[in-house]
Amino acid sequence: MKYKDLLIELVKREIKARYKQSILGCAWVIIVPLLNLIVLTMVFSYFVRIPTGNIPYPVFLFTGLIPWTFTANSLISSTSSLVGNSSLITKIYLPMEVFPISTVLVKFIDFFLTVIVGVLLVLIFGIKLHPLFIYLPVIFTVQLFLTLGISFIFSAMNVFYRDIGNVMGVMVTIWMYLSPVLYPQELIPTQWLPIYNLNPMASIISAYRNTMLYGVSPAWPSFIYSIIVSLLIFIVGFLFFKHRSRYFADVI
Amino acid sequence: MQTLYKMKNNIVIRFENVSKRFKRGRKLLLKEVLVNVFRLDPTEWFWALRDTGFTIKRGESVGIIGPNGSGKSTVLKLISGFMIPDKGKVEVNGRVSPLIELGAGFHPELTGRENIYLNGVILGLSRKEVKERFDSIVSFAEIEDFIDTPVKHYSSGMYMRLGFSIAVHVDPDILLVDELLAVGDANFQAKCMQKMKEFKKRGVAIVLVSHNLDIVESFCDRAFYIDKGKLLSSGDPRKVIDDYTQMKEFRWGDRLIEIKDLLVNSGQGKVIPAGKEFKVIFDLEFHEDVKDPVFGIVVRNKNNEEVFAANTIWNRIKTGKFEKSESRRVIFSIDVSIPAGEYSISPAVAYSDLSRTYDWRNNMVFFKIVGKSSPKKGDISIKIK
Repeated sequence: MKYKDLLIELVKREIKARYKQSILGCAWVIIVPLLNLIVLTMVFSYFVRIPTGNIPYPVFLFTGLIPWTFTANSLISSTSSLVGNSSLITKIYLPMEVFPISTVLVKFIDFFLTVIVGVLLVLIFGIKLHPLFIYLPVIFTVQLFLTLGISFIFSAMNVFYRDIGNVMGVMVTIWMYLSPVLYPQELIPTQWLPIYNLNPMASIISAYRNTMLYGVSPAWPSFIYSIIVSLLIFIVGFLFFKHRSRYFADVI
Repeated sequence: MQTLYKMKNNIVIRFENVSKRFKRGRKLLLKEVLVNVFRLDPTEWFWALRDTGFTIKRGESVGIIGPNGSGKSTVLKLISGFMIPDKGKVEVNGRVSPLIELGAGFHPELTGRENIYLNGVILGLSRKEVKERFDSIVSFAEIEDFIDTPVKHYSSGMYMRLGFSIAVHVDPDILLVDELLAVGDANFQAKCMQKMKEFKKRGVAIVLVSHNLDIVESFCDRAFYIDKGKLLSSGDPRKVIDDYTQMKEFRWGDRLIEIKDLLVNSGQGKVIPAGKEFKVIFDLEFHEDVKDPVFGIVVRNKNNEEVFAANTIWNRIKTGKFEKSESRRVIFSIDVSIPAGEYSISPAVAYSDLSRTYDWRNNMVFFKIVGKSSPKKGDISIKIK
């Protein structure tokens, strides 16, 4: 299938191009999240103490931060994926959705590599992975649909209004603080939880921790809500993208 | 390929009353958006193409000519399919390969090999197909020794050869060429022409946008003349080119020597008493070292009929050597009897053997002759300063 070949080549282009002309090369995939983790661990273990039960904070953090980073990086990169490929878009007919999709795929590969680091870390800290981690692919699939859906919307909007690219970084940061990435969801007062859980990412991140660290299945009501919202965003995002893509070449 | 025969009479491209419009300017800033809310007609549109209809058959070569911004490239974009018409219908059957800005999809950090795969799939091949054609692509581009070098280190010639080579290896049914032959050295251009002739023989439809009227005339079976989004003339290239060159203003040539300005009598009015000698002065800018270029003018009357012409060859003037980024002035002193009326001047600069044109600005300046004319010897002298 040529569509698949096109995606493969675009992903290869990103990955190869990114690490050329750099000394550490592919090691950056691992170094960046590790540095991130060290900084955040220091901040949250020494200055702001966050209660995480009997789970060491770095492990707690990593189980939320690795999946979150996948979404955050995907959104920031895919927002500019169409504008960045304008030289292709105005010259050759291509199914435009390959640009945000391939960007998300690249971030998926980064994610996959950091997961390996994460697993090693968990083993180093001597924490047993709970058998419930079989839920992980399910949780990740939900997160992937949510991420793709939002990527479609913002990459298409960014073609028409470049302002989107500028606010994206801030929006992603705000979203992170609204999700239980740095802190456990238990810190949220119970009366606020219904509102807090409107954010589909909240129960996705909690679900990762519940299954991996605590051996609890996802909190079903809010997780099913996330599944529905993510699928809706994916479908709406894709249709929106397809509709707007007719005009990309006119304005890009 | 199998789709190729779906349309009647081997038609591969059909435009039916196609119109395409764009917003004039970009009104995006908040201030402008707010102002526009209160206006009745908030957006100004301009039509890049209006009610255009034509068909192109298998194996046909069509040249599209017209001034800059006339809508020629819009036609190619609509054929490519990434732009859709606002009105009308565009039907295209077959694999389209655009020879537009060769190597547009190259990534500078990737090697030639990596870019061949990348660009091949972008142009619609599968990875397997690229693999099969790989050796052929490399040898046609003549870059065997540099195949594992990042393309950012390529010379512009290598870059273009590789881009061209990939584009012609996709086995297109329709080949779109936009000013391809304006770039590259003579060798490369000959190679391109050769390949395009091969394609023509194989039944590939070729749509060529060019300012090079010589190529359109010699290569194409048909030509379209488009101006301001309208298809003004189509048919036999010679006839269409004539229609085009008759029009008020147009310009062609590679502009390695550019005609910057043209003055009649140092700009002191464009009304000249009949019988009086007058001067036509044009300012030139050289963008390359050149030897013995030919300078000339054509004066036409209101009906576009040539009244007289002059050039340095007829005056047996060797114009000599000029250096890059030099600015020079050519002065024609004209002492010819012309009846009263309105006239146009078309200045031109051509290669020393007249094989190609540097710059030709048709009907660039208009002037008037008034009063009664008297018989003259008909002298025209040319000076270069």
